[in-house]
Amino acid sequence: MRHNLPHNNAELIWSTWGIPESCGTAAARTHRIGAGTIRTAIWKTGSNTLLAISNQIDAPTWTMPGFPGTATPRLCFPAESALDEQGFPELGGPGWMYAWLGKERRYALLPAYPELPVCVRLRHPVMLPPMTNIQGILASYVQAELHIGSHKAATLPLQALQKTLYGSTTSGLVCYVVDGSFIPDDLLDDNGGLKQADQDFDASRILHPVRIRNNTSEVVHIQDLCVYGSQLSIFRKGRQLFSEKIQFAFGPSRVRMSIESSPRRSSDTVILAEAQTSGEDTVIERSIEMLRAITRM
Amino acid sequence: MMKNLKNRDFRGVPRLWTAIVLMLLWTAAPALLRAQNGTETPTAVMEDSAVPAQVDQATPQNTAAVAEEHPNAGVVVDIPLLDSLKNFFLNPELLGRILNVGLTILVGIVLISLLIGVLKRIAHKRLDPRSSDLIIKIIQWAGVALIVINALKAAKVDLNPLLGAAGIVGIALGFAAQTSVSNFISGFFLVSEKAFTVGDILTIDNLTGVVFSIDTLSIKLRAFDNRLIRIPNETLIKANMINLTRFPVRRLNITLTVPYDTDVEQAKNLLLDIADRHPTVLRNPEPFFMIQSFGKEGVDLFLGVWFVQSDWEPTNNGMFMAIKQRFDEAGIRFAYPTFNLATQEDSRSALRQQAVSGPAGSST
Repeated sequence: MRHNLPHNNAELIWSTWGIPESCGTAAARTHRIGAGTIRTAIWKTGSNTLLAISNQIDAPTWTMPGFPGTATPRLCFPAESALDEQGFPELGGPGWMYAWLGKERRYALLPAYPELPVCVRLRHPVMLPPMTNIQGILASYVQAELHIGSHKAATLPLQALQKTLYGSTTSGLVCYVVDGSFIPDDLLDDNGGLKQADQDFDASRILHPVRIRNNTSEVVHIQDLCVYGSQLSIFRKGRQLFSEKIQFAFGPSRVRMSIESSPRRSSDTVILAEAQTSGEDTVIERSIEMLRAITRM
Repeated sequence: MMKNLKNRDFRGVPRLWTAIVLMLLWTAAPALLRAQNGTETPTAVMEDSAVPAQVDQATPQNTAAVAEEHPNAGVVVDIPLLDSLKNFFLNPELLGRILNVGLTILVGIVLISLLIGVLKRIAHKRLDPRSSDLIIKIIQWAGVALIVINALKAAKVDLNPLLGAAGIVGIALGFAAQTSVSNFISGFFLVSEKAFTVGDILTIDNLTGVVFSIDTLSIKLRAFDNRLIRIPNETLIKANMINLTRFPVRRLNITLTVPYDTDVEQAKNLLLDIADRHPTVLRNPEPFFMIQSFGKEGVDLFLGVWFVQSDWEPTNNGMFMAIKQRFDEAGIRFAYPTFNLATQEDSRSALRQQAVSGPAGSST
């Protein structure tokens, strides 16, 4: 039985799933999330039942031969692998990961922020006069985590994200980079959601309500905004994923990201992932890293 | 507990116990001699080699006779070993001194190991392995020196002649251990420079490897083929060293030569496009293109792309593979050394041809 799910329905996708009913590739379940496709199947080895997991990312239009659009190197499919009609290798091949199920008969797909911060490169840089602020929305991407019981079985990227360096080549921060735009306030409805239809958003995309504040005495041109996912939670409202409201304060010497407010709790707002670290922890950690980078101690 | 202390904190000082035993013996030896003197029996001093063998078995009765017979000879007295040991161990002053020494050593070891334990915890958290190991080693050696000095004081050993002797020995050792001392001091300078740490990849005099350990006299590199390379600190401080992993990102420098008939603009666009599409090439700093020179074989091009240190292998292999593939697809060839050879026969035929047809441009 094959399930081809709509790729933009976060409400459906980020939930708990029963394991596929029978063994083999033919009975594999397909989750389509953003540009990623996750397949799960049942694989029997003797008396053990394993959940086989495979992941592919749509090859970006620019992807060259030699760089298959797979999520991670360990999931790369060898050229000689037999692929089925959906481009997935046969069960038992190297393109699958296997997780022990035990007595569990369900697994959960949950969104999570990538391990690196995500730097949103604005297509249209924003000019902000001194001592002013602007509100809007940024979009970045989440990756999927597959949980069996209380254990995380796999982390599955859903986008082929490129890396960039935020800062100088001697002490900068390596981040993922996504192109985006700063959506002005007038496109938002009263609840902070977009007035536009949500078909532009897929289930792997998360919205960050932001306020950018210029605390300097000079005009700042904002080209990149770096979102530290580890400090943020993931909420779902309807079909959309979103985070807390973030504030970027441009000071004379640095840019500081902090959480301005959490979304109002309502019956239709579900929290899918909690923040992993507090802002204070990150500040301390970053300060120590910076000190170590400078002093090499 | 002692075993535990040794394993935990005195691994770098294996000679500690030897030193303690030697010190105890050293403390005990004169005391033993004094104890023997304390029996009020004259010590046998052989001053004349002509003393007959039977003197060894002399008794108080025949001692006088021997002395009469050999006026230059000392008096030989036999003391039973048991008595000597009994006197030695029942001497309260000596016992007190030994106890004092033992207590000083024990307290010293406990205090120093506690200090080192605390230091280790702090240093490993706050400092890099190189600095923390060096600091801990210095504290260990300083601790051992303090323990030894205190123990000697407790044994009421006069330190002045010892210090004098130590000075002379120090000079002798200094000459003998010039290289080691030089390496040791070089190690300090290297630490203060903070040019590398454990885990960095270094290239030193054509040797490349991951820093495996940083010791007092040398550093050890693990080469990529798993060989261990030991480089003395003195050599390291003189050599040109390249730290490949000092900064979070690095640039891959690609140089290639295309023939003169190549459309250089097309080659440039292709190279920048390859860099732009490569998954591990950083978007910022941007890839850098440059025409280096008009070389012997063609136009020398340069492309620099930035990558995260951990992505070295996929970036290097991926970029070269992609350039080859895309250049082949675009019909751009790579230049290689080309020579036009003209043989003597070719020259003669050319001359004959010229003679038959007449000089170029001439008309009949």
